[in-house]
Amino acid sequence: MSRGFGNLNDEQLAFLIVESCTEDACDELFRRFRKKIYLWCFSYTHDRDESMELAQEIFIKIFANLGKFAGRASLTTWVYRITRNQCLTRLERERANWMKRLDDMEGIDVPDSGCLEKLRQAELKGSLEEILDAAGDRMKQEELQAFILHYREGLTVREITRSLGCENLTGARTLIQNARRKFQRLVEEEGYSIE
Amino acid sequence: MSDGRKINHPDLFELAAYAEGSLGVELSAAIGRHVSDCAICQLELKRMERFESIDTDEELLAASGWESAEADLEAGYRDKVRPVMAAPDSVGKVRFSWRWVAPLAAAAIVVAIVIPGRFTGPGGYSDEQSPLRGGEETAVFIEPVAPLGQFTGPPEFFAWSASKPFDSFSLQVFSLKLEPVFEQTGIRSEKRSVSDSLLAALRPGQVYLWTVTGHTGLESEAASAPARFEILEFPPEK
Repeated sequence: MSRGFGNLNDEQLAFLIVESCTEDACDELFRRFRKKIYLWCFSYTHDRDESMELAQEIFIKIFANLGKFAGRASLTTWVYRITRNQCLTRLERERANWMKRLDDMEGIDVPDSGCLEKLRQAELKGSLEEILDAAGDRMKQEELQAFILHYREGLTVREITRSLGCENLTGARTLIQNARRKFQRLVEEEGYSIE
Repeated sequence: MSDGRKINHPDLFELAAYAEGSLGVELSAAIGRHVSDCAICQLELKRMERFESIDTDEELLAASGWESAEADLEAGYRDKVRPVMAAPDSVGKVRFSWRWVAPLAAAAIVVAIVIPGRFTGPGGYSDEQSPLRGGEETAVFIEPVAPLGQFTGPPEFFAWSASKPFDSFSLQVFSLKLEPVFEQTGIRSEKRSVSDSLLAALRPGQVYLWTVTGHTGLESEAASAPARFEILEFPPEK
Protein backbone atom coordinates (compact mmCIF):
# COMPACT_ATOMS: atom_id res chain seq x y z
CA MET A 1 0.00 0.00 0.00
CA SER A 2 2.75 2.44 0.82
CA ARG A 3 5.43 1.56 -1.67
CA GLY A 4 7.70 4.54 -2.12
CA PHE A 5 6.04 6.65 0.58
CA GLY A 6 8.51 5.78 3.28
CA ASN A 7 10.92 8.21 1.68
CA LEU A 8 8.42 11.05 1.73
CA ASN A 9 7.87 13.23 4.73
CA ASP A 10 4.34 14.43 5.51
CA GLU A 11 4.69 17.65 3.55
CA GLN A 12 6.00 15.94 0.44
CA LEU A 13 3.18 13.44 0.66
CA ALA A 14 0.62 16.25 0.83
CA PHE A 15 2.04 17.96 -2.23
CA LEU A 16 2.12 14.69 -4.07
CA ILE A 17 -1.60 14.19 -3.39
CA VAL A 18 -2.38 17.65 -4.70
CA GLU A 19 -0.17 17.03 -7.71
CA SER A 20 -1.33 13.58 -8.73
CA CYS A 21 -4.03 12.51 -6.25
CA THR A 22 -3.40 8.78 -6.25
CA GLU A 23 -5.53 6.62 -4.00
CA ASP A 24 -2.41 5.09 -2.45
CA ALA A 25 -1.05 8.47 -1.44
CA CYS A 26 -4.39 9.48 0.12
CA ASP A 27 -4.48 6.17 2.00
CA GLU A 28 -1.00 6.83 3.31
CA LEU A 29 -1.96 10.26 4.60
CA PHE A 30 -5.01 8.74 6.28
CA ARG A 31 -2.82 6.07 7.85
CA ARG A 32 -0.38 8.62 9.22
CA PHE A 33 -2.97 10.82 10.92
CA ARG A 34 -5.95 8.61 11.76
CA LYS A 35 -4.84 7.77 15.29
CA LYS A 36 -4.07 11.35 16.31
CA ILE A 37 -7.32 12.66 14.85
CA TYR A 38 -9.51 9.94 16.33
CA LEU A 39 -8.00 10.38 19.78
CA TRP A 40 -8.28 14.15 19.61
CA CYS A 41 -11.96 13.79 18.69
CA PHE A 42 -12.46 11.34 21.52
CA SER A 43 -10.95 13.78 24.00
CA TYR A 44 -13.84 16.10 23.09
CA THR A 45 -16.70 13.69 22.52
CA HIS A 46 -15.92 10.86 24.96
CA ASP A 47 -17.88 8.71 22.57
CA ARG A 48 -16.42 6.14 20.19
CA ASP A 49 -19.03 6.38 17.41
CA GLU A 50 -19.21 10.13 17.55
CA SER A 51 -15.43 10.35 17.37
CA MET A 52 -15.43 8.05 14.38
CA GLU A 53 -17.98 10.17 12.55
CA LEU A 54 -16.19 13.38 13.42
CA ALA A 55 -12.85 11.95 12.28
CA GLN A 56 -14.39 11.11 8.91
CA GLU A 57 -15.68 14.66 8.54
CA ILE A 58 -12.21 15.93 9.37
CA PHE A 59 -10.54 13.75 6.76
CA ILE A 60 -13.00 14.92 4.11
CA LYS A 61 -12.17 18.49 5.07
CA ILE A 62 -8.44 17.76 4.97
CA PHE A 63 -8.55 16.27 1.50
CA ALA A 64 -10.86 18.98 0.20
CA ASN A 65 -8.52 21.70 1.42
CA LEU A 66 -5.17 20.11 0.81
CA GLY A 67 -4.59 22.45 -2.10
CA LYS A 68 -4.45 25.32 0.39
CA PHE A 69 -1.56 23.74 2.24
CA ALA A 70 1.39 25.86 1.20
CA GLY A 71 4.05 23.92 3.05
CA ARG A 72 5.31 26.77 5.17
CA ALA A 73 4.17 25.07 8.38
CA SER A 74 4.36 21.39 9.10
CA LEU A 75 1.49 19.28 7.84
CA THR A 76 0.87 18.18 11.43
CA THR A 77 0.22 21.81 12.42
CA TRP A 78 -2.09 22.27 9.45
CA VAL A 79 -3.98 19.05 10.24
CA TYR A 80 -4.14 20.11 13.87
CA ARG A 81 -5.79 23.39 12.93
CA ILE A 82 -8.49 21.66 10.90
CA THR A 83 -9.03 19.01 13.57
CA ARG A 84 -9.25 21.55 16.33
CA ASN A 85 -11.64 23.84 14.46
CA GLN A 86 -13.90 20.99 13.39
CA CYS A 87 -14.14 19.76 16.98
CA LEU A 88 -15.00 23.25 18.20
CA THR A 89 -17.59 23.71 15.49
CA ARG A 90 -19.19 20.41 16.41
CA LEU A 91 -19.00 21.29 20.08
CA GLU A 92 -20.76 24.57 19.42
CA ARG A 93 -23.52 22.78 17.51
CA GLU A 94 -24.13 20.20 20.18
CA ARG A 95 -22.92 22.01 23.24
CA ALA A 96 -25.80 21.02 25.50
CA ASN A 97 -25.29 17.31 24.87
CA TRP A 98 -21.57 17.46 25.25
CA MET A 99 -21.63 19.43 28.48
CA LYS A 100 -24.20 17.13 29.98
CA ARG A 101 -22.08 14.16 29.10
CA LEU A 102 -19.08 15.92 30.58
CA ASP A 103 -20.83 16.38 33.90
CA ASP A 104 -22.09 12.80 33.95
CA MET A 105 -18.74 11.34 33.14
CA GLU A 106 -16.59 13.41 35.41
CA GLY A 107 -18.75 13.32 38.50
CA ILE A 108 -16.55 16.04 39.91
CA ASP A 109 -17.44 18.72 42.32
CA VAL A 110 -16.95 21.73 40.09
CA PRO A 111 -20.41 23.22 39.92
CA ASP A 112 -20.83 25.32 36.85
CA SER A 113 -22.84 28.10 38.51
CA GLY A 114 -23.63 29.63 35.17
CA CYS A 115 -20.04 30.07 33.98
CA LEU A 116 -20.69 28.18 30.81
CA GLU A 117 -23.83 30.10 30.01
CA LYS A 118 -22.19 33.43 30.78
CA LEU A 119 -19.30 32.67 28.46
CA ARG A 120 -21.65 31.51 25.77
CA GLN A 121 -23.70 34.69 26.01
CA ALA A 122 -20.55 36.77 25.96
CA GLU A 123 -19.37 34.95 22.85
CA LEU A 124 -22.70 35.50 21.13
CA LYS A 125 -22.56 39.18 22.01
CA GLY A 126 -18.99 39.48 20.79
CA SER A 127 -17.66 40.47 24.21
CA LEU A 128 -15.79 37.25 24.94
CA GLU A 129 -12.42 38.77 24.12
CA GLU A 130 -13.00 41.59 26.55
CA ILE A 131 -14.03 39.20 29.31
CA LEU A 132 -11.13 36.82 28.75
CA ASP A 133 -8.78 39.77 28.73
CA ALA A 134 -10.17 41.04 32.02
CA ALA A 135 -10.14 37.52 33.46
CA GLY A 136 -6.48 37.24 32.48
CA ASP A 137 -5.70 40.19 34.73
CA ARG A 138 -7.19 38.40 37.73
CA MET A 139 -6.38 34.76 37.11
CA LYS A 140 -3.04 33.08 37.07
CA GLN A 141 -2.09 32.01 33.55
CA GLU A 142 -2.75 28.33 34.21
CA GLU A 143 -6.10 29.12 35.82
CA LEU A 144 -7.18 31.02 32.72
CA GLN A 145 -5.99 28.17 30.52
CA ALA A 146 -7.85 25.57 32.55
CA PHE A 147 -10.93 27.79 32.56
CA ILE A 148 -10.91 28.14 28.76
CA LEU A 149 -10.36 24.43 28.21
CA HIS A 150 -13.11 23.42 30.59
CA TYR A 151 -15.81 25.99 29.95
CA ARG A 152 -15.18 27.00 26.38
CA GLU A 153 -13.98 23.73 24.92
CA GLY A 154 -15.79 21.33 27.20
CA LEU A 155 -12.74 19.24 28.06
CA THR A 156 -12.70 16.94 31.03
CA VAL A 157 -10.52 17.56 34.03
CA ARG A 158 -8.48 14.54 33.02
CA GLU A 159 -7.80 15.94 29.54
CA ILE A 160 -6.98 19.35 30.99
CA THR A 161 -4.55 17.68 33.35
CA ARG A 162 -2.78 16.10 30.39
CA SER A 163 -2.85 19.23 28.25
CA LEU A 164 -1.49 21.52 30.94
CA GLY A 165 0.94 18.96 32.27
CA CYS A 166 -0.46 19.07 35.82
CA GLU A 167 0.93 16.52 38.23
CA ASN A 168 -2.49 15.08 39.07
CA LEU A 169 -6.23 15.59 38.69
CA THR A 170 -6.40 17.60 41.88
CA GLY A 171 -4.11 20.21 40.36
CA ALA A 172 -6.33 20.80 37.33
CA ARG A 173 -9.48 20.70 39.45
CA THR A 174 -8.09 23.35 41.78
CA LEU A 175 -7.19 25.52 38.81
CA ILE A 176 -10.74 25.31 37.49
CA GLN A 177 -12.31 26.00 40.87
CA ASN A 178 -10.10 29.04 41.46
CA ALA A 179 -10.77 30.32 37.97
CA ARG A 180 -14.52 29.89 38.40
CA ARG A 181 -14.49 31.81 41.65
CA LYS A 182 -12.49 34.66 40.12
CA PHE A 183 -14.64 34.71 37.03
CA GLN A 184 -17.83 35.04 39.06
CA ARG A 185 -16.30 37.85 41.11
CA LEU A 186 -15.23 39.56 37.91
CA VAL A 187 -18.72 39.42 36.48
CA GLU A 188 -20.23 40.78 39.71
CA GLU A 189 -17.73 43.58 40.22
CA GLU A 190 -17.28 44.72 36.67
CA GLY A 191 -20.96 44.58 35.96
CA TYR A 192 -20.73 42.80 32.65
CA SER A 193 -24.21 42.69 31.28
CA ILE A 194 -24.36 39.17 30.01
CA GLU A 195 -27.67 37.92 31.30
CA MET B 1 -11.13 45.89 33.90
CA SER B 2 -9.84 45.70 30.39
CA ASP B 3 -9.02 48.98 28.73
CA GLY B 4 -10.39 47.57 25.52
CA ARG B 5 -7.09 47.63 23.62
CA LYS B 6 -6.81 44.93 21.03
CA ILE B 7 -3.83 42.74 20.44
CA ASN B 8 -3.06 40.64 17.41
CA HIS B 9 -2.02 37.25 18.67
CA PRO B 10 0.42 35.48 16.39
CA ASP B 11 -1.52 33.00 14.32
CA LEU B 12 -1.23 29.27 14.76
CA PHE B 13 1.42 28.82 12.08
CA GLU B 14 3.57 31.62 13.42
CA LEU B 15 3.33 30.04 16.85
CA ALA B 16 4.26 26.64 15.44
CA ALA B 17 7.20 28.11 13.57
CA TYR B 18 8.24 29.92 16.75
CA ALA B 19 8.13 26.65 18.70
CA GLU B 20 10.14 24.90 15.98
CA GLY B 21 12.70 27.71 15.99
CA SER B 22 12.29 28.31 12.27
CA LEU B 23 11.53 32.04 12.42
CA GLY B 24 13.96 34.87 11.89
CA VAL B 25 15.64 36.32 14.97
CA GLU B 26 13.57 39.51 15.19
CA LEU B 27 10.20 37.90 14.60
CA SER B 28 11.04 35.08 16.99
CA ALA B 29 12.02 37.55 19.70
CA ALA B 30 8.82 39.57 19.18
CA ILE B 31 6.64 36.47 19.40
CA GLY B 32 8.63 35.23 22.39
CA ARG B 33 7.89 38.46 24.26
CA HIS B 34 4.22 38.14 23.45
CA VAL B 35 4.00 34.46 24.40
CA SER B 36 5.68 34.96 27.76
CA ASP B 37 2.82 37.29 28.78
CA CYS B 38 -0.05 35.65 26.93
CA ALA B 39 -1.84 32.76 28.60
CA ILE B 40 -3.87 32.08 25.46
CA CYS B 41 -0.83 31.63 23.22
CA GLN B 42 0.91 29.54 25.87
CA LEU B 43 -2.20 27.41 25.97
CA GLU B 44 -2.15 27.02 22.21
CA LEU B 45 1.44 25.84 22.29
CA LYS B 46 0.52 23.28 24.93
CA ARG B 47 -2.42 22.11 22.83
CA MET B 48 -0.20 21.68 19.78
CA GLU B 49 2.23 19.65 21.87
CA ARG B 50 -0.69 17.59 23.05
CA PHE B 51 -1.76 16.87 19.48
CA GLU B 52 1.77 15.82 18.58
CA SER B 53 1.93 13.27 21.36
CA ILE B 54 -1.71 12.27 21.83
CA ASP B 55 -1.24 8.98 19.98
CA THR B 56 1.19 7.78 22.64
CA ASP B 57 -1.23 8.35 25.52
CA GLU B 58 -1.82 4.78 26.66
CA GLU B 59 -4.61 5.74 29.04
CA LEU B 60 -6.54 7.57 26.32
CA LEU B 61 -5.90 4.77 23.83
CA ALA B 62 -7.49 2.31 26.23
CA ALA B 63 -10.38 4.58 27.19
CA SER B 64 -11.20 5.36 23.56
CA GLY B 65 -11.27 1.72 22.52
CA TRP B 66 -8.69 2.42 19.82
CA GLU B 67 -7.89 -1.24 19.31
CA SER B 68 -11.36 -1.99 18.00
CA ALA B 69 -12.00 1.48 16.61
CA GLU B 70 -9.03 1.28 14.25
CA ALA B 71 -10.66 -1.25 11.94
CA ASP B 72 -13.99 0.59 11.98
CA LEU B 73 -12.29 3.86 11.21
CA GLU B 74 -10.53 2.24 8.28
CA ALA B 75 -13.87 0.89 7.01
CA GLY B 76 -15.46 4.31 7.42
CA TYR B 77 -12.64 5.88 5.45
CA ARG B 78 -13.09 3.31 2.69
CA ASP B 79 -16.87 3.63 2.55
CA LYS B 80 -17.43 7.32 3.25
CA VAL B 81 -14.28 9.36 2.73
CA ARG B 82 -12.87 7.70 -0.39
CA PRO B 83 -16.09 8.07 -2.42
CA VAL B 84 -16.11 11.81 -1.66
CA MET B 85 -12.49 12.05 -2.71
CA ALA B 86 -13.22 10.18 -5.90
CA ALA B 87 -15.56 12.95 -7.02
CA PRO B 88 -13.99 15.09 -9.75
CA ASP B 89 -11.76 17.84 -8.38
CA SER B 90 -12.55 16.95 -4.78
CA VAL B 91 -8.98 16.95 -3.57
CA GLY B 92 -7.29 20.30 -3.22
CA LYS B 93 -9.99 22.50 -4.67
CA VAL B 94 -7.59 25.43 -4.52
CA ARG B 95 -4.64 24.26 -6.51
CA PHE B 96 -1.23 24.80 -5.07
CA SER B 97 0.96 27.17 -7.02
CA TRP B 98 4.47 28.17 -6.04
CA ARG B 99 4.35 31.01 -8.54
CA TRP B 100 2.26 33.12 -6.22
CA VAL B 101 2.95 31.48 -2.90
CA ALA B 102 6.66 32.31 -2.84
CA PRO B 103 6.37 36.07 -3.49
CA LEU B 104 3.45 36.31 -1.06
CA ALA B 105 5.39 34.47 1.61
CA ALA B 106 8.39 36.72 1.14
CA ALA B 107 6.17 39.80 1.35
CA ALA B 108 4.45 38.48 4.46
CA ILE B 109 7.73 37.87 6.22
CA VAL B 110 9.02 41.35 5.33
CA VAL B 111 5.81 42.98 6.57
CA ALA B 112 5.90 41.01 9.82
CA ILE B 113 9.47 42.04 10.49
CA VAL B 114 9.31 45.70 9.54
CA ILE B 115 6.03 46.56 11.27
CA PRO B 116 7.16 47.21 14.82
CA GLY B 117 5.20 46.53 17.97
CA ARG B 118 2.84 44.07 16.41
CA PHE B 119 3.09 41.64 19.29
CA THR B 120 3.53 44.09 22.12
CA GLY B 121 1.24 45.36 24.83
CA PRO B 122 -1.63 43.78 26.67
CA GLY B 123 -5.03 43.73 25.12
CA GLY B 124 -8.07 41.82 24.06
CA TYR B 125 -8.76 38.65 22.30
CA SER B 126 -8.86 38.90 18.56
CA ASP B 127 -10.78 35.93 17.26
CA GLU B 128 -9.93 36.65 13.63
CA GLN B 129 -6.26 36.05 14.18
CA SER B 130 -6.49 34.09 17.38
CA PRO B 131 -4.49 30.91 17.61
CA LEU B 132 -7.67 29.44 19.04
CA ARG B 133 -9.02 29.43 15.52
CA GLY B 134 -5.88 29.11 13.49
CA GLY B 135 -4.60 31.42 10.78
CA GLU B 136 -2.62 31.68 7.58
CA GLU B 137 0.77 30.14 6.99
CA THR B 138 4.17 31.78 7.11
CA ALA B 139 7.78 30.71 7.70
CA VAL B 140 10.28 28.55 5.83
CA PHE B 141 9.96 27.18 2.32
CA ILE B 142 11.98 25.75 -0.56
CA GLU B 143 11.04 26.41 -4.16
CA PRO B 144 12.15 24.18 -7.03
CA VAL B 145 13.76 26.19 -9.84
CA ALA B 146 14.98 23.67 -12.42
CA PRO B 147 14.36 21.34 -14.14
CA LEU B 148 10.66 22.10 -14.62
CA GLY B 149 8.68 21.17 -17.72
CA GLN B 150 9.68 19.24 -20.81
CA PHE B 151 13.18 18.70 -22.16
CA THR B 152 14.95 17.10 -25.02
CA GLY B 153 17.70 15.26 -23.27
CA PRO B 154 18.39 14.85 -19.60
CA PRO B 155 18.76 17.87 -17.32
CA GLU B 156 22.26 18.99 -16.48
CA PHE B 157 21.53 20.10 -12.93
CA PHE B 158 18.87 20.51 -10.25
CA ALA B 159 18.40 23.95 -8.68
CA TRP B 160 16.15 25.32 -5.99
CA SER B 161 15.69 28.42 -3.89
CA ALA B 162 15.36 28.36 -0.10
CA SER B 163 13.89 31.12 2.02
CA LYS B 164 16.71 30.76 4.57
CA PRO B 165 20.10 29.04 4.81
CA PHE B 166 20.14 25.34 5.65
CA ASP B 167 23.01 23.18 6.80
CA SER B 168 22.33 20.76 3.97
CA PHE B 169 19.75 19.61 1.48
CA SER B 170 18.64 16.21 0.26
CA LEU B 171 17.34 15.61 -3.24
CA GLN B 172 14.90 12.86 -4.15
CA VAL B 173 13.72 11.91 -7.61
CA PHE B 174 10.68 9.68 -8.19
CA SER B 175 8.90 8.17 -11.12
CA LEU B 176 5.29 9.18 -11.63
CA LYS B 177 4.39 5.88 -9.98
CA LEU B 178 6.27 7.10 -6.91
CA GLU B 179 9.09 4.63 -7.31
CA PRO B 180 12.31 6.14 -5.96
CA VAL B 181 14.76 6.77 -8.79
CA PHE B 182 17.51 8.67 -7.03
CA GLU B 183 18.36 10.13 -3.67
CA GLN B 184 21.28 12.25 -2.52
CA THR B 185 21.81 13.72 0.92
CA GLY B 186 24.33 16.18 2.34
CA ILE B 187 24.11 18.71 -0.51
CA ARG B 188 25.58 22.01 0.67
CA SER B 189 24.35 24.42 -2.00
CA GLU B 190 21.11 25.17 -3.83
CA LYS B 191 22.30 23.49 -6.99
CA ARG B 192 23.36 19.96 -7.80
CA SER B 193 24.80 18.58 -11.03
CA VAL B 194 23.17 15.48 -12.37
CA SER B 195 25.38 12.58 -11.42
CA ASP B 196 26.26 9.69 -13.69
CA SER B 197 24.18 7.31 -11.58
CA LEU B 198 21.10 9.49 -11.98
CA LEU B 199 21.81 9.99 -15.64
CA ALA B 200 21.87 6.24 -16.11
CA ALA B 201 18.53 5.88 -14.36
CA LEU B 202 16.64 8.46 -16.45
CA ARG B 203 14.66 7.28 -19.46
CA PRO B 204 13.26 9.20 -22.41
CA GLY B 205 9.47 9.53 -22.58
CA GLN B 206 9.20 9.46 -18.79
CA VAL B 207 7.84 12.02 -16.34
CA TYR B 208 9.74 12.46 -13.08
CA LEU B 209 8.93 14.18 -9.80
CA TRP B 210 11.60 15.64 -7.56
CA THR B 211 11.64 17.22 -4.15
CA VAL B 212 14.22 18.89 -1.98
CA THR B 213 14.32 18.78 1.81
CA GLY B 214 16.26 21.33 3.86
CA HIS B 215 18.04 20.14 7.00
CA THR B 216 19.30 22.07 9.98
CA GLY B 217 21.37 19.88 12.23
CA LEU B 218 19.68 16.50 12.23
CA GLU B 219 16.20 17.95 11.71
CA SER B 220 14.32 18.14 8.42
CA GLU B 221 13.01 21.66 8.54
CA ALA B 222 11.24 22.24 5.23
CA ALA B 223 10.48 20.40 2.04
CA SER B 224 9.63 21.62 -1.42
CA ALA B 225 6.51 20.70 -3.29
CA PRO B 226 7.19 17.96 -5.83
CA ALA B 227 8.33 19.49 -9.10
CA ARG B 228 7.85 17.72 -12.40
CA PHE B 229 9.99 17.32 -15.48
CA GLU B 230 9.72 15.17 -18.57
CA ILE B 231 12.41 13.97 -20.90
CA LEU B 232 10.86 13.85 -24.34
CA GLU B 233 13.79 12.12 -25.99
CA PHE B 234 17.50 11.72 -25.67
CA PRO B 235 19.52 13.50 -28.36
CA PRO B 236 21.15 11.12 -30.81
CA GLU B 237 24.64 10.11 -29.85
CA LYS B 238 27.34 11.64 -31.99
